[in-house]
Amino acid sequence: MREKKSIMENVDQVGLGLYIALLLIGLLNVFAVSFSDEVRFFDFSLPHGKQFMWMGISLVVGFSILTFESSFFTKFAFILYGITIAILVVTFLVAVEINGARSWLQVGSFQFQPAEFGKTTTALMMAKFMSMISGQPRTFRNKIIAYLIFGVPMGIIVLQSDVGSALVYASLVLVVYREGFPVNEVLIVVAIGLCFVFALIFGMDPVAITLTIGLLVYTISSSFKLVRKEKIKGTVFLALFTVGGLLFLLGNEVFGLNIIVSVVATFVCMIAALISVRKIKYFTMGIPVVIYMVLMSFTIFGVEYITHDLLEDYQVQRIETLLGMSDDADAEYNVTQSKMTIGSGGVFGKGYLQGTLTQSEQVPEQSTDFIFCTIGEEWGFVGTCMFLMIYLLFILRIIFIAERQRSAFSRVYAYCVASFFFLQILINVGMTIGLIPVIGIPLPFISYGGSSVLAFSILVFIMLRLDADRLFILR
Amino acid sequence: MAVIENLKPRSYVIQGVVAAVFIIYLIRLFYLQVIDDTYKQIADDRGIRKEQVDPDRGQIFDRNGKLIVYNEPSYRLMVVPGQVKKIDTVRFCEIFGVDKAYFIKKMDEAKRFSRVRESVFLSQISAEDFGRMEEYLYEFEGFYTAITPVRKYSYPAAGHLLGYIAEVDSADIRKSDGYYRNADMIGKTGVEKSYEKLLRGTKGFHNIVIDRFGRPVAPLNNGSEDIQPVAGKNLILTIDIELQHYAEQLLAGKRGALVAIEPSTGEILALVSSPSYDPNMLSGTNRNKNFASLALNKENPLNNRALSGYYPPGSTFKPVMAALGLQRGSLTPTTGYSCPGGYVMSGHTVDCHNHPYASNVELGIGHSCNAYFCYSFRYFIEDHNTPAEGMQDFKDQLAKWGIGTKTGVDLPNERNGNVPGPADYDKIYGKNRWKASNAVTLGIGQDRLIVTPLQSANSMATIANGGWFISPHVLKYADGEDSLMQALQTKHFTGIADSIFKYIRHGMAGAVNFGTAKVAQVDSFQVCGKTGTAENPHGRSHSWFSCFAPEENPKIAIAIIVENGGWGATYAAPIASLVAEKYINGFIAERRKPLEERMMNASLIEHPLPPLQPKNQGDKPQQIQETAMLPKQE
Repeated sequence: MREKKSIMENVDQVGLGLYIALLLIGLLNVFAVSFSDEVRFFDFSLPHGKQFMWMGISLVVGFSILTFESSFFTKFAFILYGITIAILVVTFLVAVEINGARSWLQVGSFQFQPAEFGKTTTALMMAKFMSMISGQPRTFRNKIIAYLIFGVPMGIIVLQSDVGSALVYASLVLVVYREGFPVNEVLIVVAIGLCFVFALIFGMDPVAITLTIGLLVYTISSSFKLVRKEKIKGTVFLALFTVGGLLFLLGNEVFGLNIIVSVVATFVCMIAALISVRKIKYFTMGIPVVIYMVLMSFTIFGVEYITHDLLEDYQVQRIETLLGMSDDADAEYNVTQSKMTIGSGGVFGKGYLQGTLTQSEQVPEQSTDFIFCTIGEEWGFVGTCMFLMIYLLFILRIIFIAERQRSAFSRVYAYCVASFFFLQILINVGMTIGLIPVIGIPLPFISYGGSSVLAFSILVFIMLRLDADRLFILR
Repeated sequence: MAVIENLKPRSYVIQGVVAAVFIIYLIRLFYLQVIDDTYKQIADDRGIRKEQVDPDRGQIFDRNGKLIVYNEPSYRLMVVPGQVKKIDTVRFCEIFGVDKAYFIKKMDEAKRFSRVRESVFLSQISAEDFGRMEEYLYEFEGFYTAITPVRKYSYPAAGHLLGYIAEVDSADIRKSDGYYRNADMIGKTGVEKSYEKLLRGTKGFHNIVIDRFGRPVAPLNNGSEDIQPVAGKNLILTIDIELQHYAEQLLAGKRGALVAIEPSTGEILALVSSPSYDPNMLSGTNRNKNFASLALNKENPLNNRALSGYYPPGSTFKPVMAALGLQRGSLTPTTGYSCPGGYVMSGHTVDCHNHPYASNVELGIGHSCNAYFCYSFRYFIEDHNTPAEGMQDFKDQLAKWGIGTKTGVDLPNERNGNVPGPADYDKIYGKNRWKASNAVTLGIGQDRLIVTPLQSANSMATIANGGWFISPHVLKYADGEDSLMQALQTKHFTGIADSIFKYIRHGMAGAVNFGTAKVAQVDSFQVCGKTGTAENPHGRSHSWFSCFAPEENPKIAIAIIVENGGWGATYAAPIASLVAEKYINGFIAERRKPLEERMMNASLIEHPLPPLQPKNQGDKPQQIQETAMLPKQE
């Protein structure tokens, strides 16, 4: 009894508070989506009712996790990870297809996605392995094993056609980066991963993507070296190059700039970057910038030109059919509807339960993947701003928790948690506001879905439990 | 510990990256929600919903008033799950002819899709059942009927020419200045595309008062502010659908194209690209599946070879070459060239087949002598000050025939073909380091000369007319579009004297009577034609035939290519002559029936398409036929 009490005292109150706040926001919004005249709040056959029930279950499971010994997680990390891999493989083999992915497992009437729970066990395994090798020299073998720990489940999940979840696993490169793996190697791994993803999602030419990303990585990593040698010039170059790249990638979509303006601005930045290094390392720094600019102009003017002027209609049709792009009308429709719903919220929103577009079901999948629209419509910019701030605080708090650990195990685990949340938000919110292609993954704690809420709760509570023991060094 | 201390800065990098993403997202949200007011309007018109009412798309008839494209209503039963009150399931299943399992499955699906929006409950209901169901509908709240038009085709023919309609894509929406919205239909190819604006009509809009949940309550002001849709215009095309269907049957199982034109008017009678497909495949429920299978078929059935197929014209070009030479004076009607088995150059010989001496231009064409036209070409070029000037003149003259440039047909995706100019030879041999003999095979339609089947047919029409043509077109009549139809009647002159064509016509008649195209003889009228056997890098020679008939007052000009079909007389000439005979006489003479059968059954392709269904005109409701005939009587 005494021990238990001391654990509750040691649990991070801020983290727990933010977690519960997010749960409540989620419940309110799921209710808003299914709300109509005759709907009562306590109706367990409707989404919000079920969500409420699952939140109860999650809290019960979560608080019982707090009664576990921390050493349980370090001891069982291997076994849990092994079981996870086995279940993922089984899922791939036996699962029925839902929305084009074979990632759901059915036990009785209960359906869940093993990939959701696999995040926790993969994080534990990662923590276990990184803590085992902490302080040791980083041998090639160790590094490969670290990448494989999240690469293997990721690969199986890609085979299940669930690209979204796989991307979330990929976020663990942030962890190996934090644990001191060389930047260049991490960037190379990211580049290889991105090539695969782009090739998978967009069916783009892998060679072109490899080239583009390779150049970017090369330029950024070699300008890091430059910064060390030539502090001022190097920093100026890196800054200009980054601003130029961002202007190009985001100018039109995010800042609402005219496409011509954003291209011209990009070119000005790039040329300024070139001039800033014109005396030092001209070739190593200059050439990638030039090639990058050519590639950029090609992506803007080239694709349109090729598809509409050079290729015959039937050839374009054939290519589009091969790439499955004829289905894209759906995804495009979703994004338009989603942006419209969010945009219609204005500054202050229409008020809770007053979201006309939400209630006339203008956005498909709104209670799950597109729940962010409801916040946007009913709470406006003020609401979305507050919401994102809460989430940002939550993630920063997790990183803060991670950094105060003495145990490498706990630190790595907490970083894994932060990375997962970061990627989920990045993809989910990015997709609803039209910055990222439509990849269906839930917004943790907010989206409707029992297994998702439970899995993310377990992830968080294990971290809270480990943190409560922060004065010990776990191995 | 030391290691960990050193890594602290990396933690800040990670926090920076996280914060940066959030900041970018906030800027984006600020833009979406505060600055950009595209979406604000939607928030304002809460309470009133502008509902789009689609107009009927225009129907399409052939030159004889036969209905070829119409809209068939497709009846469906819709359900809005949120509005369904307790219903007698047993009675429901009885009336609507479904079983309980189906009912439960469909209701489940509908609920999962949306509680307040309608889902399809039952589709493809016959008109008869539909009428019966409507009587009982009042008993079942939440169920509605819906009629959506589906494009139907009376003949399994003319797919390429008619084109198809499909949902608009984002580019269509962007280009239309706000006319199209998501899920609207638009003509994507063929007539459906080029006359989209006539066919689509004008959308109507009904203002409907809705409640807080987006459910319709009543029309606004009793519908007094509603805009009613205007149906699309019916089109009468120049094609003869029976002839089109017949030609497609003859070309079935072969890659190629056939274009038939009425010379005096430029009206396209038939325009076939083979392999072809039943246009009904790209309409209605199985559209996506069929589209994918057509798009991926190795024979490219979606490509309209008649307008965009690139082929060397081969010997079918010789009559045109003769006309150019005669007009220039570098060739006279009585010029004869001896042919020692080919045109001999230093280095190599342009081979020719064994034939009697071509003592004049008519015999040159009749015997299709290669040497004759190599000389014709050479002297045409050498008649100019420099080879470059000659080559440029050659290119310019052909442009007047619509060769190497678009003929101006009123169908999308026409291609230019290619006539090389002096610059092309400068590139190969160096500036002015070449002469006529480097390019003599242009005179026999080889080298870099490329035409489309449409251009070839158009040049036949030009010869038949005696030196002019009207741009080939498919629109014959559209109500109230006089200026449009007038624009289609512009005459183009080649600048070649009428008198010259007498020799060409005689020569082409000779080719059919005693030359290479004897198989194309038809008993009751004189066919003037020219075979072509075009060498190409894709295997066996292409089989060409260009012709017009009858010799006096020509009624039809035809060009046909059968890819890798070998000699012009093997496939092309028989098929073209059968098409001409069918069009002019209306039937095929008994003597030529075996030829017809042989052509229809010949197969040259490796990736056949599903067989074409027999034409389904018979089961078309009579009523539609009658209403469809109305515009013609006006």
